[in-house]
Amino acid sequence: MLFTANDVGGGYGAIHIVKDISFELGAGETLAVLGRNGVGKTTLLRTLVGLADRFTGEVKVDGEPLPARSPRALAQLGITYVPDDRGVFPRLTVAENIELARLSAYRKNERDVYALFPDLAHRTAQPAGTLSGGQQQQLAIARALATEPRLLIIDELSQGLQPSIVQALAEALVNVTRDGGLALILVDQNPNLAMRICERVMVMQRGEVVAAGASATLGADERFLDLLIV
Amino acid sequence: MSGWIQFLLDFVWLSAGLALVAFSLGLILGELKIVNIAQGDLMMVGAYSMYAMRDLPFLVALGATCIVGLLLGFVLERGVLRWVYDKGFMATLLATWGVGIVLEQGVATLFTVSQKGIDAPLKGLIEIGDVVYPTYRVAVTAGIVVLLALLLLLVYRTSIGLRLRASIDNVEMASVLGISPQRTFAMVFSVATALAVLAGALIAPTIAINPTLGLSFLAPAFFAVLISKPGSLAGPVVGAVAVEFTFTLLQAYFNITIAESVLFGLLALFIVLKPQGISWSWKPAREETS
Amino acid sequence: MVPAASSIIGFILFAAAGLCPLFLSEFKVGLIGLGLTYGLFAIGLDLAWGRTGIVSIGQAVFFGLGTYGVAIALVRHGSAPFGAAIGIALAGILGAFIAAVGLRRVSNPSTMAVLTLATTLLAEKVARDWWSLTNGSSGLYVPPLTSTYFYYYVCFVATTGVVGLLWFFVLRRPLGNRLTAIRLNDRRAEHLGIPIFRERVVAFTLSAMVSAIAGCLSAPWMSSVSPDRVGILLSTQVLVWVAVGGRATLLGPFVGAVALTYGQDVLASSMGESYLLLLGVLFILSVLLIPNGIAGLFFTGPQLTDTTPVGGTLPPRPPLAGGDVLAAEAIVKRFAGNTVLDGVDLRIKPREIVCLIGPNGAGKTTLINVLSGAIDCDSGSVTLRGEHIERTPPDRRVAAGLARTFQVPSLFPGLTVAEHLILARQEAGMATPLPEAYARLEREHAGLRVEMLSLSDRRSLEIAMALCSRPDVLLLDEPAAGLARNDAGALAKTLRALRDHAGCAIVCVEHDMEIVRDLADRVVCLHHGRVISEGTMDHVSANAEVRRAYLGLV
Repeated sequence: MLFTANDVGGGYGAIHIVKDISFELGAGETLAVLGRNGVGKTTLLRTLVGLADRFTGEVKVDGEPLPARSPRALAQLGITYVPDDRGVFPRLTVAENIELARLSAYRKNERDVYALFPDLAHRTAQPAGTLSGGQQQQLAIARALATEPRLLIIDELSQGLQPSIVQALAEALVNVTRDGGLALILVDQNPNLAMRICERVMVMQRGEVVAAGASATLGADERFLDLLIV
Repeated sequence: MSGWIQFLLDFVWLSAGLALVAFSLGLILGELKIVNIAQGDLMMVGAYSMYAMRDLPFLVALGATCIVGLLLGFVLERGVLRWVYDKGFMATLLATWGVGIVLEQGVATLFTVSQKGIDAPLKGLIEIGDVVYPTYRVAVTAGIVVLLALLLLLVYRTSIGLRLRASIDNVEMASVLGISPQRTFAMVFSVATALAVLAGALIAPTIAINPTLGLSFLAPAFFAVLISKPGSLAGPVVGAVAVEFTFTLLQAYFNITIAESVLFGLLALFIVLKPQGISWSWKPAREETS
Repeated sequence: MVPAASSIIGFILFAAAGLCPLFLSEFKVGLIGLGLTYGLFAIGLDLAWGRTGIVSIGQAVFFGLGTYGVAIALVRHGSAPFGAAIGIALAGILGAFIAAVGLRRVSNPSTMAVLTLATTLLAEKVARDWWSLTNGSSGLYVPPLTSTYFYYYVCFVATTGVVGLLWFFVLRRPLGNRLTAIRLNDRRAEHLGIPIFRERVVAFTLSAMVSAIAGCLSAPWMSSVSPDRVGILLSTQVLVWVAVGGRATLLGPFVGAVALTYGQDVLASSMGESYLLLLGVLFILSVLLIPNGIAGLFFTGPQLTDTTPVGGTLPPRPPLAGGDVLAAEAIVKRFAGNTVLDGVDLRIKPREIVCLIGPNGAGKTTLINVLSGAIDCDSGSVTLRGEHIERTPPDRRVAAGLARTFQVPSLFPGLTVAEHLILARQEAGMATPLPEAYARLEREHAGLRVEMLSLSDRRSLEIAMALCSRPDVLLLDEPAAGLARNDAGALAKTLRALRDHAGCAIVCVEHDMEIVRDLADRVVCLHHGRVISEGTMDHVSANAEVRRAYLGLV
């Protein structure tokens, strides 16, 4: 198993936001984490990558416990993360943002990320902080892909983006996961989009998993959709 | 004519030293988000290190002093600063102040408070136009300019610099890309300390060495950092040149104390107009987000 | 109010200071007298640093202005009180100037550090150069005291008097509570209605003047007044006294100052320069290990004074002529080129409950921030009861009838539930009774520090504080986020009861659609910074655009 979470819980300060989350992810598998705002999806991801204050349970990579609970330890094992605020380095140019990722790449591959995001290709010299929200999100994904990861964890792929950009990003992700063998954990507000990209779905409510299964089965289930809709 | 040459030479010599100190200060503020009040005392340590090794060849002593600086920085970061990062701005400020007191008093205990001096390795004078200027100052100025150019190249053109700037921009995201915050902090503070110590060592032959010599550099160095955008590394260098230019110009007309007072007044005015500092680059930096 | 232990220790130390001349040699009495004035100096610094949280690393400037004022008057056979008055006035003016420049809302925290540092460095140079006035480095020779004992009691009475005045007219007053609030959480303080810039300037000015008074008193103890009286070493030492003695206490600064001044004399004779080295190490250790100083180890009493107003003194706001109590028109807000709010219109009627919904990133919290004044909008207008408030600072919006809570409850760390409500009622100017659901929190947990409260109780406390100002409009940012199922279920009922009790309109960002369904009179859905649908819950949830926004059917 590439990635295993056993009874993971976490949060900030005195507040425990997620509890008892367990799942497994093999190489090339894709998992969407769904749920309404405020159910703890972001906290779950931050807990998994070692950015939350509190942590309980266990995370294993390749069946081995982590040497240290830090994002850096995961990076060295080929696991990278795109936060919901995109986390681009605002004063670095687009090219520098990508270059930085290449420096810490998990394996040498030199994937042409600009081919996936042509919008970025002619903005390489622009400081990332001056990009629009959609471009910043593209850059964040491109940068994550440039680390040549085995597992990509993305928080809020489509947040605040135009539908056309969302389409392009989704296609790019489908390509790299189906063809490139990249595993993916995706949090998104948009269940249809998430279920189109990911084979499996996990639904959270108040910090706990309340439903899980294959996208195809759950996507056809009205009661399941009710958990997500207005 | 000779007045202007004299002015230019003084200005270049003084701004070179200040730029080095301000660069180091800006590095610490940018990466560690710490206002390092001990900066002047680090310079003082450099001067005393040179005094302690005054019998060695100058360049050997200079190299040894740099190593002293690196070690001192490492020890201070690991021993003191690391424990106060999460205690807020005031705690870090007070901790560096405490470090400053300890350095000052430690040196005073070791060397007594009486003034010391060391000889410049180059004793000659150079004629530039009608003005005669000490060769040592010209050589040191040139050396610092080259050093700063190399440092800025390192920061803006190499992968080490790229990692550093990324870490300054967003330390959490940098760690996601495999850049360890702890190591970066320790490295940055060590190098910044070594630079401040080096600056002190270089000016040591031109001043009277005493435990409080760093104080006179502290305020202008802070001014230089304060008028540039937070987190910028080239900014403090340009800021230092601007501050020193204004200051040298003011000194041409007023005595030094009045010049400093006017400079301080100008700084206050600047802070009122531009509380966030100014960006010296032509590209707009990102707006503040809430 | 004050715990017994601190009163007893305080009284013993006070008595010891009052009686020590009976037992000690003249020299020792002089030393303790100097220590007392240094203690007052430290109290002055503590007013800015310990109480209000303002960095001042050049406090000796103000002290020195007082010292030089008296010394110059004495040397020139003028009137010492006149010299003192000049020194204190100058200190006040300089303090107000520095604070006004360095403490603006947009300033970096390092600005104040650099300004105060530069001031002390500069002052030392000016004192050294201004020969005609200060006699330069050699200093002014102050005539010796005729009676050490007599002057000791002058200092003792004056110090006690100044501290007493501070205690009764600043610290035990609403102002003192405000300063503590600003130190603990300036954003929350601002949204409670405290004008933080003004109060910070007041605190720093007072701090400068108290330090100057201490400087005046200290002059006769010195054989000569030299430029180091305004310089960086003394600025350093006073920081050490306060840090080691204990911030935000009355005894701490005195204990630190007297002990270290006395110790300096005793130890300096045997240790020489290494005494200061020891002081530096002590300082670092105290920053690392006892951030609250020695006094902080013993005294953990209440930090606020009960200033709850008796009876209602708040004039009722004029009845609304009809129409909307709060209206936002064409609000636009951009961050770094991203348009977060793109022409939002929102109208709230009196006593109406409106829920803002929308996918993440729709701009809901930004809208709350614009309405409450936490951030300014780029264009558009906000009117409260018909008055334009889009450029009004948050504290004045609170007074005008707009209160808010935050997504992560924003409270004052270390204060109890009761102290939070004291602050809120003090700012409201009246002792507003709370609805039962919140009154219970006050009854049952009054003495509990907020760190000990559950998330649900912390949210309730924040709402209770907002209610104290008897707002016309209450802005709530995700009041149910992170709550347990049963707490969240009760929330809608509680909030509706609250509206009926307090008679305010509520604008609430909420994601839990069951709560929204129970709570809202009207639902407004934002998407990409625009209102895409508004009306009843059923109307909004049936809207095709809303379903697209949530389900992402593109």
